[in-house]
Amino acid sequence: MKKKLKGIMLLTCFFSVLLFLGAQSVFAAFEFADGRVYLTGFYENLTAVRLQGVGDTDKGDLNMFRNTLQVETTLELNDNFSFFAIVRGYYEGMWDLDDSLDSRPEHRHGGPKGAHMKRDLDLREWYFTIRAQDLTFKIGRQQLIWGESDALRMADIINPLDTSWHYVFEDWENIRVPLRMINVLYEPAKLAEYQVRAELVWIPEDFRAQAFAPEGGVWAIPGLPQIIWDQERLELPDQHNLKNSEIGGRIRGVVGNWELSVFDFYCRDDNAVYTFDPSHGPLPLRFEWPHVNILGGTFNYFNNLTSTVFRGEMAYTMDKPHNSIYQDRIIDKDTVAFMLGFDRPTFFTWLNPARTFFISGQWFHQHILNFDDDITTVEMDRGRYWNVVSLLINTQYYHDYIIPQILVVHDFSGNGFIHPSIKYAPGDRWEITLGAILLHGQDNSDSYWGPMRKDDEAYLRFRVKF
Amino acid sequence: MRIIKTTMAVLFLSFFFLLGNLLLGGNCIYADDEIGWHGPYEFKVPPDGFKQGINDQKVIKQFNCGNADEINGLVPDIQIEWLKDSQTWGPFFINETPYEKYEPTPGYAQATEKYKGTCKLRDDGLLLNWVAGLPFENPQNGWEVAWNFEKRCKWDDVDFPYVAPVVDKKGKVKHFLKGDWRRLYFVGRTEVDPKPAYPNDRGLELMDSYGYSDPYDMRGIIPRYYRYVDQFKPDDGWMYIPTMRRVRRLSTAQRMDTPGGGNVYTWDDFQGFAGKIMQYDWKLVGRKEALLPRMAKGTPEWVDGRHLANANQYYQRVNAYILECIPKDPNHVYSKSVFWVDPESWHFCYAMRYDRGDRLWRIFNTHISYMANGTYMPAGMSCLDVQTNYSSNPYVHGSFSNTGWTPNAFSWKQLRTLYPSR
Repeated sequence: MKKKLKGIMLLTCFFSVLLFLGAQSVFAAFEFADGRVYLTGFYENLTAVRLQGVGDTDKGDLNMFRNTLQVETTLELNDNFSFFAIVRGYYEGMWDLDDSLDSRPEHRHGGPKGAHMKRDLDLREWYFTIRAQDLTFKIGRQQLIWGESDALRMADIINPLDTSWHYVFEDWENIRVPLRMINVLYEPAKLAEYQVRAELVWIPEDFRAQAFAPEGGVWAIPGLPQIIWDQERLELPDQHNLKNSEIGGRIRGVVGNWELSVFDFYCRDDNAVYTFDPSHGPLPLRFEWPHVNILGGTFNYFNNLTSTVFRGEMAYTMDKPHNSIYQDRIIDKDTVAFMLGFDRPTFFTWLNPARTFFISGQWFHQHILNFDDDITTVEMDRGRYWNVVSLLINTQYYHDYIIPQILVVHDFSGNGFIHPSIKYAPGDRWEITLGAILLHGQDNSDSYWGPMRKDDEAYLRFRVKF
Repeated sequence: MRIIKTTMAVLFLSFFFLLGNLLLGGNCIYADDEIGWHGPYEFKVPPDGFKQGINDQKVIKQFNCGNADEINGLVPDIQIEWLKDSQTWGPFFINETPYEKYEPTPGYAQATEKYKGTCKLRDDGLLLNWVAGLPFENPQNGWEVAWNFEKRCKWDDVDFPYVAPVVDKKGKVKHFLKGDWRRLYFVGRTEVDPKPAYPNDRGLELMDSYGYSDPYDMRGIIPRYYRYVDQFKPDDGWMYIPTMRRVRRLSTAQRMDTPGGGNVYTWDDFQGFAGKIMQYDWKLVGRKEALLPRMAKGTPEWVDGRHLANANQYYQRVNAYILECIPKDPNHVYSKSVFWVDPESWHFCYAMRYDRGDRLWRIFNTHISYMANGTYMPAGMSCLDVQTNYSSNPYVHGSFSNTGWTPNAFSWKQLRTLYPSR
């Protein structure tokens, strides 16, 4: 009864917020002090339902009823000093609305040390930007993105991901975990037309592992017991320890028609590896997050003959740690990964006379060098070779009011997903998106999506902005 | 009987209502609606002010819905429709002011004199030998008029802050786009050293950026372009996208696409025409007397929630060039464009774009005003999709030019400072 009442109250609040914000006749962010203080943000509800049942779940069960309030602020003290912050709070109401759902995750955190599954309020990002001549310093908790890829990550290696609440089906911006870092950018004025930028990043102590859904969660890895996350959490490196230091650098610039970059990043692996160790408990496993060094580069190039942007990136990870099927050792192997992609806005005037279709394709490949047969290929490991292709197509109709999109990702081992969506955005105040995540996979197959292959969902995302 | 009487009364009253409407011009609405600067942003004057007297010209005659037919042929036919049908388009007035000779900036005039007679056309229309100034004093064909437009007196560098209400079919403002357009020229420089060219080994003609500061979804998006002196070399483009937190390389092949945000104009439509001359064929249709907004007041005004930019502007009578251009690309979204060109400043004051079915599709009216330093600013641009009754009309305010920018003004560091975002 209590839960039912809570659910009714939740729905009442939800619709009241919608009515209130939707009724506001004037959209405007809040600007003060001649634009030096800027406040904006959004409220969002994301409701998702299962499209097929599996185990104790039924088709039509709520996968999500997540309410998010995000506030962003920019404070410009002068031309050389500014402060930026994002505060994000959320409340996941699905357990309040449906008693039949597995309630085990309701009061848990993402594993091993992620955010609370039900509610949280977080100063998600905050950083100072200081400009001095050709230098820019960004100091604080932030996201830093390298690379040219979409949908999957390769050179985007600085921040870990929080896949606990919607797996990898959110914009990366929403699920990257911001870290406390110092980012220094050097852009010499004399080389401005070559867009030369040298960048240094240092994450002194803030290590966070990639977060996964706890046992019972919608996007939990099937068969992985909670005890694994509980133990990993105990064995995580102390978050505030200089031993966690991660450091890297990148140089990029435009040479002819090519934009090129090279980077190197020394960091901890965001995912744990383990060995059998009876001195550890309750599971006799020792978890660790070893340091690795990742060397790589990116390029992009526009070819006029084909009207296409070609882009790519490569990452060479030295001594990437892998689990052994015998759990007796960590197997360090160099790994090579690359992405080749293209973007081609294309007019199909018979389908859309006013706007192009944005067509973007990518091929990801990863290869473990000098492969050792003892390397485990279960638990979502990618195996010796890993090949994935993706295709994204979107366009806009009626002066950008209606935006249909489809994203298809397919792993050559037979897993993947299709993500169609359609957004209706009649103005600045609000937008609504209807979409679906349709996973496919082969039985007993792994990779990123195989274990989730029965978790298809349809969703409705409603966002009100201010 | 009572019913018959009532019915007759209603019919009688309706007849007089209709008659009155016809006599008074039916769809005519006078300026009960306020013509002015609307929206949530404060209007800003250019730092150095406007050209003296440009905002206070003497009106010889005002044309409105009551006397629109008097200027048939002096403006495009669609504007006669705007004058007459204020029910649909909002109150609209054409205020004729006395002709004033256009004077280019001193440096441009000197360059025109210095390089006079040196320019010529290649067989395919490519401009040869141009260094600075006006290429052709007395153009004889469409190509020469087109190059005069391309190389007209502008600025060596400029910043146009703008506000653009995007108005839907029902006259409702979907949102206000706010941002800046800034440009730096590397060639044809006449006012600010280095002249006539900014040394660079990339063969750059110009650098452009179009940063957005509002609304929320557009805030911090910064497209940035390089255009090269070589007309056959494609532009290079990049865009910083806040949601991705990174710079993305752009394909510049599809300039007939719109920039997004509900904009009506394509990348090539800006200020009448912003494409590459050599991607089109140019034909001089002829010359005719026309009323052009060639000395417009610098304080843009519009009727709140209506489509037409600068609803109460100044127009002058000149012998305009009528120019037609046809895309060389058979798959271009436009079948042709027609421009009405001021014969002294060479601005494209009116631009009409036709779809593949040769139907009028989009209109771009650029109201040319001038800052105190003699350089021009488009006080407002009417950008209308006449097939869907949808518009996005940038109004420029607080603009400045010839400040001596370097390429560093277009570095990501500088641009991200101007358009802060995540």
